[in-house]
Amino acid sequence: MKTAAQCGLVACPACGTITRLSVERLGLPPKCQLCFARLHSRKPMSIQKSWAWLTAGVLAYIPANVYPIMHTTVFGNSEPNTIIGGFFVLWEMKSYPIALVVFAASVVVPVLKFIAVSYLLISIQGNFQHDRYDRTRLFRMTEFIGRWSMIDVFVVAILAALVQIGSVAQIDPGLGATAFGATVIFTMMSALSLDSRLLWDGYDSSATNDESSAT
Amino acid sequence: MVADRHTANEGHRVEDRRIVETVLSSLVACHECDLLHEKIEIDIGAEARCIRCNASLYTNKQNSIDRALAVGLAALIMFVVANAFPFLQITVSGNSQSMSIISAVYALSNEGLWLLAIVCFGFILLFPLIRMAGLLYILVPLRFHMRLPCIELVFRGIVFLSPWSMMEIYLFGAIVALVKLAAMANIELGYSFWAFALLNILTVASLQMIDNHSLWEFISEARDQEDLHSGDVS
Repeated sequence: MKTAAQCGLVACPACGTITRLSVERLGLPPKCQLCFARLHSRKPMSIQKSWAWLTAGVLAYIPANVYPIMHTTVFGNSEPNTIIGGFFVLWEMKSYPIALVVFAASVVVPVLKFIAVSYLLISIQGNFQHDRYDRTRLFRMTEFIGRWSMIDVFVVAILAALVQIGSVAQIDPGLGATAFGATVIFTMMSALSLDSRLLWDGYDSSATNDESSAT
Repeated sequence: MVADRHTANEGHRVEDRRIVETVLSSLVACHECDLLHEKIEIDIGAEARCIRCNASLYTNKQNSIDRALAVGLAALIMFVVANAFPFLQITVSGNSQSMSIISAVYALSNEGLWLLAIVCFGFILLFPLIRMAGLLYILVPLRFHMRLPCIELVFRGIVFLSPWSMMEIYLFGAIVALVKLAAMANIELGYSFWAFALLNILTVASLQMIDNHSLWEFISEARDQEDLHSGDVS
């Protein structure tokens, strides 16, 4: 059980081809010989970048909730809608499944993502030895589910495009939608810059001592 | 590939390098935990997983360019259809209003949300289109044993854009919007809605047939054959 890094090898992130990290090429950023993608044994500044994007995401989530994501105007009466408000409207309409989907996408997923990525980053920095497999699964889930939060922004955009019926009803997007979109993009960037291989670094030395000392 | 470009006195070094390359090409590193594995033959339709973190290492898809091409072309046609017809139509007390897919982007920019409009344009239309066109750019020439320039760049572009292509999320967004409006208005689904739904199914199907790694396999197989040919000539 050896990792590519321990053997002085690096796998191309795009095509998977394995290359030797030779001494003469250590100076300049090495590129994959087949598809010319940049090669990094571990993504550079992974932890710092991930924390930075995550912080930006948390900060953007505040205006996303404070400002209305859309304005509904029915017969001249204009009313701002916040993210949470949209959920309550659906709940009162008794469309519970959709209300839950909206609640999950706009509140549960972003908040859980903040917590999950923070936990993963802390666990790497604190060199946690336990539950590496579960943490990898958590990372995979975060990566997979994060983009689905964008559904809220699309709903607002579709409603704004569709409900433009002169004096009867009109829906306009609000500043909160931009802030929420920023939250989604920033947290996606945070997960993308987090290198999951860091979760496993330092694993072999503790578990399979005899094998790693053989070479 | 390397051997015939080098002079005779470099021949010995090249031999060494070839051996190393052969050994390296029999290895695969898990992209999630970096563990090295030796590649083994697996059955068609099977998937090799990392023994440590269970991430998918590689699959053995039936390497059929024809099937991938068929789905890719169908998806592109559906993309055109989905953007040529109305997406949804709403009728409230005699007044009706219809939208196409791109109207959502206009609605955002009309209210001055420029940044969000541009980003949504990328997520819904531009990135999926680049991905589909890029796939055909790679597959069509391969089918006819030709090669167009910058295939590597196109391949990396496809890999890089995959998480940012959000057509399926837009489709679900449309369904949520439908439910929100169903109580107070009469809504009709346009041709484009069905074309868009079909497009999403085709996209899922094409991802089943050719994920990023098997796409690279297509490219490198074609390249190896090309090298064999050029080796025969010289």
